[in-house]
Amino acid sequence: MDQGRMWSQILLNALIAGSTYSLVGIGFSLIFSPARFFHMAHGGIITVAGYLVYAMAVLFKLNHSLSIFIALFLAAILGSVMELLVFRRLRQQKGSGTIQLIASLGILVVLQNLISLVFGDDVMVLNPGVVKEGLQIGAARITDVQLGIVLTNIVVFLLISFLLHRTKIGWMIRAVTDDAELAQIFGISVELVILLAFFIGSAIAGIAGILIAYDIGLTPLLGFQALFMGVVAAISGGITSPTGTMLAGLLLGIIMQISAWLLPTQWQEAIAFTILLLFLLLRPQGLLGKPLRSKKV
Amino acid sequence: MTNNILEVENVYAGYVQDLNILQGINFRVATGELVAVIGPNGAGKSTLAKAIFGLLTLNQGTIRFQGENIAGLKSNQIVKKGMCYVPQISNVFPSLSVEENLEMGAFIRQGSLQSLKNSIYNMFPRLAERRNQRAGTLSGGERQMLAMGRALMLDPDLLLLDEPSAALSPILVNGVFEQIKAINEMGKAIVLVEQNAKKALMMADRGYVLENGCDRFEGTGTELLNNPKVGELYLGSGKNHS
Repeated sequence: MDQGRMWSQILLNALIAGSTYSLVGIGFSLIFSPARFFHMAHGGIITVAGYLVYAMAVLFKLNHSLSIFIALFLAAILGSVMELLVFRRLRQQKGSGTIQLIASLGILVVLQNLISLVFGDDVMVLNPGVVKEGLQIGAARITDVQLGIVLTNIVVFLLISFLLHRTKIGWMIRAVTDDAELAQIFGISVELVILLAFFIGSAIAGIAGILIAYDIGLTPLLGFQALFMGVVAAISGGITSPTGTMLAGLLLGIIMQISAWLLPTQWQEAIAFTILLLFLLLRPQGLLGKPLRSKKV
Repeated sequence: MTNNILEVENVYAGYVQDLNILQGINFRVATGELVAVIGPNGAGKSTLAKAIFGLLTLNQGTIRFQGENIAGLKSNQIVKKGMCYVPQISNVFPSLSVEENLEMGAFIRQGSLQSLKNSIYNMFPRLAERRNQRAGTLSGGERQMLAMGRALMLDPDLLLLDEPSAALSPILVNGVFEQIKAINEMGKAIVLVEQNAKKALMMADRGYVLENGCDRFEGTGTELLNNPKVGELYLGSGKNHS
């Protein structure tokens, strides 16, 4: 492979990987912004959505589009149920963000183990069609699913930006993100806003999970691995900023793909952690974020 | 028949259950009245404002607003009854624009907000100049104007102001106090919680002096200013208490 073609492919791969990180990060930060805790079970929703499509489309032979639609709806419902049954109750009992994080981590482990129990630990393939050569873009190639990941990321980013800045729901989410107590003073139901964020954020997690499943297949740890990179993108970008999260996701994609070319692949996680550490030390508010008020929800 | 818009009777409240900061406080505000609440640090002034506005759980007592007992109601329910509260700090949404902050004040109102916004911009021309600017980039005085303007978007009958002069320069403090007087002259009842006791009492119709969560003194502004015991509470002197 000549140098030009190789770098074209690396950059395209970076765009694909970065789009995945960005998708996961946008959903994660949408929930973090009003709820103010690290929702680790977001990774569980990513995984569950992929397996739901597998169960419906492969095991029960349902139409793929219908399966995707139902799986996205169920992912959004699952996230909302977690908020209603677990996190809201913890908040009412004055549970801190750390307690909610631990509860969320517990839910992630339960979901992963349940999936492992029902489907096993082997890789499941959602896209068993004939292997095609992929679309030629310049000197590089991209598959239909990968193109779908890139385009979906752009669409989700634009929709979330529109939601946050041009709709009443977005206005409420931004107000609660800024100051939940002040928002409540003016008649906003903070609990409703957090529930909406869980519903929309979990649907985005579902989209990410399904796309990853179609691209590389399914394992019970799929969501956790995706979440890890998504969280790095969200923190590095500025955790309440979708634009920052998307830019950081793409930057992370470039760094990870170049490092994968230059270094053994087992260094990838160490590199991601190093990027996270550098941001936390040098620019804790991230690329486009602002320092957050330390108010409890 | 009473013309009190707000009546607080024997209220016990605090941030932690069974640890009362307010120790049986009694307090009233007549319709259209400007009432100053002063007292040394830790006297319970801000706690009283928060308790009235439903931001703290009452352990005992009643709070009647326009004749209705509002004890136990949450702030988002109280605001619908015509009372609004401007916190001491963190009183604007920093990532929202000035215009969005104002609209947030009228979140529970239906219909067009344009005429309301125009009247606020007329009262605070500085806000009109900065309407598309993020509130987080405003100066302390401009933030205070925005916080008061946003509260007025609800067209409330009673405004609770928690130390509006905190952290402002003397020139800005004068401007803020002039605006408070102007708002009061529009017929709005105001509870002004203030550290700047002299200024607050000079402007107020009546005042309360709190100490250790109790209402120690009550009277007109002039009466309290001339009361040597009020001065002792502040500086250990009966002469100066600004």
